[in-house]
Amino acid sequence: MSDKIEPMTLDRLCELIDAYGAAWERWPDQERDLALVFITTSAEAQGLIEEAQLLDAALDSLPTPEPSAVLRSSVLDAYTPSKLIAANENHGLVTTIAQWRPRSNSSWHKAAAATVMFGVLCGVGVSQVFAPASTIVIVQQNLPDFNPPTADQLLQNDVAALSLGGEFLAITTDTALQNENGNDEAGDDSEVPLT
Amino acid sequence: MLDGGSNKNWPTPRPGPMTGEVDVSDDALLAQIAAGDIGAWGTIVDRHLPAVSRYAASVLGDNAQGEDVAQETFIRLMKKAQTWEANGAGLKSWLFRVARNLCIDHKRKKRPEPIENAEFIGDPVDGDATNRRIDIANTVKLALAELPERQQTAIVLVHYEGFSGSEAANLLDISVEAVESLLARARRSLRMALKPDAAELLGER
Repeated sequence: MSDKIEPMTLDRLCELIDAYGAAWERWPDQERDLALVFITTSAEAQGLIEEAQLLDAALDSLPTPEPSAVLRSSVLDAYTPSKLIAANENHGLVTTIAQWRPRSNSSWHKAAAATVMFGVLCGVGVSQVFAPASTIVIVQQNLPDFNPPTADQLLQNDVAALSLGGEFLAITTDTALQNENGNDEAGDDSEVPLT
Repeated sequence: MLDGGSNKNWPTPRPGPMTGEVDVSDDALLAQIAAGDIGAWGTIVDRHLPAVSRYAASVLGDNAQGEDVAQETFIRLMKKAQTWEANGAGLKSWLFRVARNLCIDHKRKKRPEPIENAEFIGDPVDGDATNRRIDIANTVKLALAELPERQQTAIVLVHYEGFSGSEAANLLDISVEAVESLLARARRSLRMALKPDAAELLGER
């Protein structure tokens, strides 16, 4: 096909229909009008159109996969000016990972999330079995020689909560990871320090 | 006769950002994004995300993988915004080029999952018709998946996403004549694969 407009022929119309199908909206702008006029004068051309409509109809039977609301919101949320600057200063894999927000409708994301949750639960269970007495204390209230820890002791052991359930007093510790500065590390997982 | 075919589920050409009125150019929006305008980001996402997501899902034959590709494409756009040059081939072409490359990376040998959900093509009155359409849609999906990548991309861009021949040629870095050749070969292969189902579908009209 060239930019020069040439008279429409049956051969060229065949090429158009073979490539673009029967829907004239898809045909090249500069050839469309001539092709439409040609079709009105050619029974053979009309037969080609009808044949092409078969395939168009089959292709159009495929459902339209519109993007999910989850995808739209995750893409919108991926943008902040600070992240934009970070992305341009650090083009490495770390930034990509930091900005990646898994969505719940992806099967491997679900599997990964389930694995992580299972691991956390197993870890908590094991830690309760093997935890030292200073971190998790379960005692019966009516023990005669029970000496409850002082507030200072509780603070020293990073006690986060006291709860009274049934006849047991449970003292649990803060499970959040802390870095050497004492700040929780479980912060915004999308922010990665730039080095 | 020349009504553009019986587009029952996928009207063509697709209305919206690709063909409709555009108040602010993509280039201007990208400049605003680079300056920190989150509203411009929302406009770009709403303008192009649906088409990119549809394209990737069609090429990969898997909606979830298609959405992963669409998300990654827009993350790359966010990185690109500050160095975007307005005199390039245009944002639409850039997005589809990136998405195409990501799709090639994602391509696996396994066949696409069959369509089991009749949400989009279900007929609440005629269950048999719904089942027939699902069967036909599955056949189309599998036939598309069997095409060579370039033919597949050409068909999805031109038939489903409303790209012109010259736009597809620009994206694929080939001539318009070469695009038409790809399309013709793709349609010939699809016609062979779908002939029985296409006849059945036409019989419903």
